[in-house]
Amino acid sequence: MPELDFGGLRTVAEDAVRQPEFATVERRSARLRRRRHGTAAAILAVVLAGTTVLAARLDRPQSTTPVLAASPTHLNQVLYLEAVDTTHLYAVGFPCAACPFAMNASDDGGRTWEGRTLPNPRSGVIVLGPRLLISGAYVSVDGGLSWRAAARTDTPVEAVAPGHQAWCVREATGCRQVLAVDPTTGQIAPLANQPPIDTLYGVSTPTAAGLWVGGFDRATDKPALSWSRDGGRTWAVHVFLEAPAVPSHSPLGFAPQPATADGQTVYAMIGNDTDTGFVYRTTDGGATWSIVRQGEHIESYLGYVTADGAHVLQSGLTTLRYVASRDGGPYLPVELSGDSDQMAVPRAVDDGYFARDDGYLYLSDDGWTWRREPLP
Amino acid sequence: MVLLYVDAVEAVRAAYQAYYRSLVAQVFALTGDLPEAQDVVHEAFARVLARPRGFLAAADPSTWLRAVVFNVARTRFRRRRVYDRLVRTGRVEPMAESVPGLTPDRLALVEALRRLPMPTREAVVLHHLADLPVHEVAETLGLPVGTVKARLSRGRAALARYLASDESEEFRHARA
Repeated sequence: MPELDFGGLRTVAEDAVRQPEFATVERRSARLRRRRHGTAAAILAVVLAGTTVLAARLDRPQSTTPVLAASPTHLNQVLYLEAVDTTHLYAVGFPCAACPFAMNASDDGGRTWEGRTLPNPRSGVIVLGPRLLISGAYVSVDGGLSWRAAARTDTPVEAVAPGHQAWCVREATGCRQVLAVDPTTGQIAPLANQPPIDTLYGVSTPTAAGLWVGGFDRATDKPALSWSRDGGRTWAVHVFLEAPAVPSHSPLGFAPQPATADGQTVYAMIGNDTDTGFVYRTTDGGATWSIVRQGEHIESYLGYVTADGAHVLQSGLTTLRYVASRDGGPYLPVELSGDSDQMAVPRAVDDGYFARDDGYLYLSDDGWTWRREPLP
Repeated sequence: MVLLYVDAVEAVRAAYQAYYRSLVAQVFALTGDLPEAQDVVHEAFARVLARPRGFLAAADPSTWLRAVVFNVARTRFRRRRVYDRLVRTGRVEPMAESVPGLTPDRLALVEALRRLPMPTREAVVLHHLADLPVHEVAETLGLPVGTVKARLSRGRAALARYLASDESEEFRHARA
């Protein structure tokens, strides 16, 4: 009988594949969106055509502030929602099927929304502060009302000054440098003292939690976290020695995924090849770490830490389920109040939590009880 | 303090570079048709790009992508059954068989896989070609673990039977 050579079949098939350019996927995706949203969207596309052309001319940074029409105040599809607090919120999406990215902003916790400009509708938006945004090569210090070419310097700064923001530029191989951004001038400069690990990504945390980056230890290739409580002047490191080394073929899959609301209680999750993982916990800001789970199946690597220090994991592809660990104990099913069964994983911000589903923005003070507002 | 930036297009582009080939290989094992497999995966990525929220929020993007790919493949499979009926009744011409340079053994495996019922085939492909552990196959297909184990057991037994009978068929031809 012939062998059940699945490995050989896989290899032969993968070798025979001819992969089309990603642009063909983008074109097909645009056709799908057009089909979905129908002809009414075409009217908005015509209205926005002028915006598209102007934006295309602005691909190269200019010294003057781009003057663009504000985005329409309704988005047919919100791609993502960004915020650093529960008052100033930014939604990026498509106003119509064939339209480029557009941005809506709310300054009142999602009760009202208005269109804001995007200097390059293909770049999306990074929200660093309540009104500090970066889009491509441009920076805005007024919540997207106006944009200027970002002024980047190679001259390092000692630390991220109080009120300034940190930014970890994510590239194909990870986060190469932690930068400090001045929310008044938009000036961007690298920190003189970078985290002493091979950094793969930065972590979105409330300001009070400090700066947290994840990656691996250069000497052992083990997963590691590094954090700073003085704006990046000095960095602490913890290497998770019990966890498997971070392999080069899937570094992000093996790097620690930390979650924290206050920088004191931090949970770090680490996956491995066999779908079992580790969960570590510290309650003293990283001075000591204990293992909550070791070599067990982890329901999900999407989680957040509530105001009372519980670690909540969200799992399920079609209907969401939640389990939570309190005080480092076992993960047990929990119910949230006012959430939806399609809510994206919540994120802790300076004064609470936010999340979203396809139609609503969800806000919470404690991570347990949620209220909602319609998305733009 | 915000340090992480996820651009939807860039995230999907990175996943496309990372997972396209392996996903095509898995769908090829489901369908036995390479161009069809490539188109299924291509369409799945287009769908993800059109509505990327779930993908961006997924704990494991590859799991999410696989679920989308298998959904597209299922839809195509249902259409294909109609097509196959038309072919059998002579109302349309069959497409040329499209397989890469397979050895006879692997070709036999592809053919044997095509003889499995689709639900069993999905479980076998996810476990043996995508290398997913049983509980992850169960989560991907939305089935109890016990059901997946039963399908895998039945699938392996059926494959062994088909391959053995094919071989004996060849043997009989050779002696005739």
